[in-house]
Amino acid sequence: MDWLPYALVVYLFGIGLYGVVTSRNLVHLAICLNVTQSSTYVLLLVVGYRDGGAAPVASASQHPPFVDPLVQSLALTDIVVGATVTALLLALAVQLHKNRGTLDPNELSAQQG
Amino acid sequence: MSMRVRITLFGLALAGVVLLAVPAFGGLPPFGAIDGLLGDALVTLALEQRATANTVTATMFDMRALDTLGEEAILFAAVAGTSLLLRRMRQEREEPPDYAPRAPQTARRGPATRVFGVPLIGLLSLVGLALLANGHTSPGGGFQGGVLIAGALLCIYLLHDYDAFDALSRPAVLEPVEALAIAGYIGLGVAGLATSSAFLTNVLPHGVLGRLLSGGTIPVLNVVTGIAVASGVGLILAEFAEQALRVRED
Amino acid sequence: MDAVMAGVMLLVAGAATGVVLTRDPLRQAAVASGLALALTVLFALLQAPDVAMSQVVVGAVLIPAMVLFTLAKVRHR
Repeated sequence: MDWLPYALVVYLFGIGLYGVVTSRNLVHLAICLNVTQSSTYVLLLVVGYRDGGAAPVASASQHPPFVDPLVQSLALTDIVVGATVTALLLALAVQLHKNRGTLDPNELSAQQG
Repeated sequence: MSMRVRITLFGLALAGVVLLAVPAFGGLPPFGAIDGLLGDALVTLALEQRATANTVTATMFDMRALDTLGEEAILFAAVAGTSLLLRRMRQEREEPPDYAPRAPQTARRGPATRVFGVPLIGLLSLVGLALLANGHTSPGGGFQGGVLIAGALLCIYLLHDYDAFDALSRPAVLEPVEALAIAGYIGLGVAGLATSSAFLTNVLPHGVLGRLLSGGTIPVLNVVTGIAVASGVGLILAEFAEQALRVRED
Repeated sequence: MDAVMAGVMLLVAGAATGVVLTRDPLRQAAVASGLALALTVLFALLQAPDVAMSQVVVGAVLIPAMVLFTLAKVRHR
């Protein structure tokens, strides 16, 4: 069963992108992109996991082995970046709806100025 | 291109990714049995040389503090981008908060909501501040506490009324706070430059493990980051709320 | 890899499928906060409390709030 975490990563990546490709609403697209990004959080934490390891918060009761703290800080940064990208995409969706009256990506084409 | 062509192309691309992913993930060490030498070194470094219990916070604000500065820059850029995208256009006007007598967004909430909600706002702020302040001794830190405080700010709108939320979260109030917080982060980095040879060196005394003031500059950077994140996220939410509730087209 | 972690991973996969297959953005925001909760449990099981706390405040507070404000603005017209 040790392939399950990596299968989960590829599945999250794939189904999020499938949602982006077949989306008919820009807000739905932004949330599906968030699903794709969450696959990277899972991958980072899975790579740093250690069986029987403790969270990297040392105290009198916690002793080695610990799980890897470096990938956890990377994942923290990743979550903040994902949230900001979603914020900008939603702001774009609001402006596009104001100008074009639709949130359907299929109806928005570049030729309409 | 039509949806069918798009899905076919996507299927081909995904098949390619899976084909490459299988040997890539197969070449990694087995799940749960990593070598982890760098991680162990980081835990020892944080514990012995920085007197910090939470290694992730020590990594984010000491060993890799420059990456956190980059992350705050990303948040700053997102706030600027959202403010720019949602600025008032020529054909729009901003309704005053009481433009419709019983509009739900400006009406005060029912008494039950207010009685249970307003203490909740205080509780959320306290929990956020506790997460902020104790980020280096227990799990938590600047980002978690900051976003929770911004959530408490949003709860002012949800559980009380929009005017109080608007008074606290307008750009004239929050933008200087965010700018000062990020400037404080950079200022601490420059202090590191002044006393030794590297930007963002840990220059304050390290103290005793487990105390509130330990770890040198780590708790200070923690608090500064939390303030920046809280005000940045509050600004983003205020922009969205203003668009949804106040801006109308002519 | 024990049964609990495998079960939570399957739960995350199911929640992500639900998020993508929910076409209405208003309902999708609720399912997305459910996905955030499942991810938080997975991160806590993977011994990453800081990341779990970040995920829960972002996924259950920030993202649904922004989506709901966007939908309120879009549907008002």
